[in-house]
Amino acid sequence: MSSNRWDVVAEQESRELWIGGRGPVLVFGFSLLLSAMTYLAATNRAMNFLEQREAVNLTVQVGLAVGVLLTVVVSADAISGERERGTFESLLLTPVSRRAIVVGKLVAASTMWLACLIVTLPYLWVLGRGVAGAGQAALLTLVVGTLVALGLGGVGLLFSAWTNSNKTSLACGLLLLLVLFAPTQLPALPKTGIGEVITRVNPIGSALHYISQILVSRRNWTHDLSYLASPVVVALVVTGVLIVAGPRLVRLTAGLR
Amino acid sequence: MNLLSLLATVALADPTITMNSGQLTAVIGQTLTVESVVSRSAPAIAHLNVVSLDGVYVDLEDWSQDVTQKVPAGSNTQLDWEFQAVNPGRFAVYVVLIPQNGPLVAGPPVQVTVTRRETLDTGATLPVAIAVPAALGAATLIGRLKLRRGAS
Repeated sequence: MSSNRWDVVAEQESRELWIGGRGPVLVFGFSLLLSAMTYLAATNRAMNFLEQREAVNLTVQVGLAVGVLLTVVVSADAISGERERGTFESLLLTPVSRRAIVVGKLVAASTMWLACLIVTLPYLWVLGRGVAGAGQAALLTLVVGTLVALGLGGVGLLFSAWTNSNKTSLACGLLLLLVLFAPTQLPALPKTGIGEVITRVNPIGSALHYISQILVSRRNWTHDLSYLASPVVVALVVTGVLIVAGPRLVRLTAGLR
Repeated sequence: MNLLSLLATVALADPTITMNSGQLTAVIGQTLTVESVVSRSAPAIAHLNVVSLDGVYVDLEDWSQDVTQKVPAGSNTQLDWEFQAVNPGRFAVYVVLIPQNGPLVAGPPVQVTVTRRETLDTGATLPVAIAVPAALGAATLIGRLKLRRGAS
């Protein structure tokens, strides 16, 4: 009889990710990126033009973007990777329900986001000292980033379940992120009518806009709260789909039949 | 004065612009918001302008991306203006109303004093920028070595 102990799956998957897996290497690379960016923001004359709150905002945005990227990379490998390595059969034989496998894998992938968040904290502290921005930025990153990471990590897991090839799954995940990140690089986008709609629909664009409104424009947390609708809806819908369709998604070969 | 002439006086009165603040101070790079209220206006365009009181060249595009807003006909229209202080010194920020007919109407200036900013503390960022990757790299390396020893 299969049990619903998703925590057992999550623990085992986290172990594989962090002990001997690629988790530490990815986080090490992430810290190198943040170090280079923080040092440049503090020393480079062109970048040091940034107001201190903007430097904190830039760190939050890079931390969130790359943290979500790494979460999608991990989740996109979760099922298709096991299929390719031939280890999925033994996982299906364990006395754990298929729904628990999906939820456990999503939780394990989310630990990548939490690790990125923890690594970001010292950089936020050093850049935000004196403007009371570091604590607020950390809390914002935790709340908003977790919503985005959960939603898009779940989408990565869906790609992984629907494809037999790890390459296809990763390519789909990265393409999705590229499509979602590209509009955020247009600074005037939220100020046009259609641009505001695109920003609000895009979970990453709306999350980054909400964060910058609080950190840079010093709005209060409730002023632009409607921008969080997209990340909340994506996180809820994707998690719901994974839980409901979990037993049909976790199959030895991809597809729903 | 009868009621008709009173209404005519009100209807033909010139539009006015009021600002929510007379003086602001900012650190260079800081983003500021001022509110203006346009009263008794026919349809018009409101334009934000920035003038240096120290003779420094001001590139308006650097200060704000949205320098014009449409003003509908109405008794009171509130307009929010967001701009970034990109030069140090003393500046006057004001709003001009451009009606479809008639002369321009200028609002009162908001005196903005922008001070230079201390740059971020390089001395404090360097230890963090080195220590965090070093600690993570060492932990990764030690973890891998332990695994190899355990496997052999």
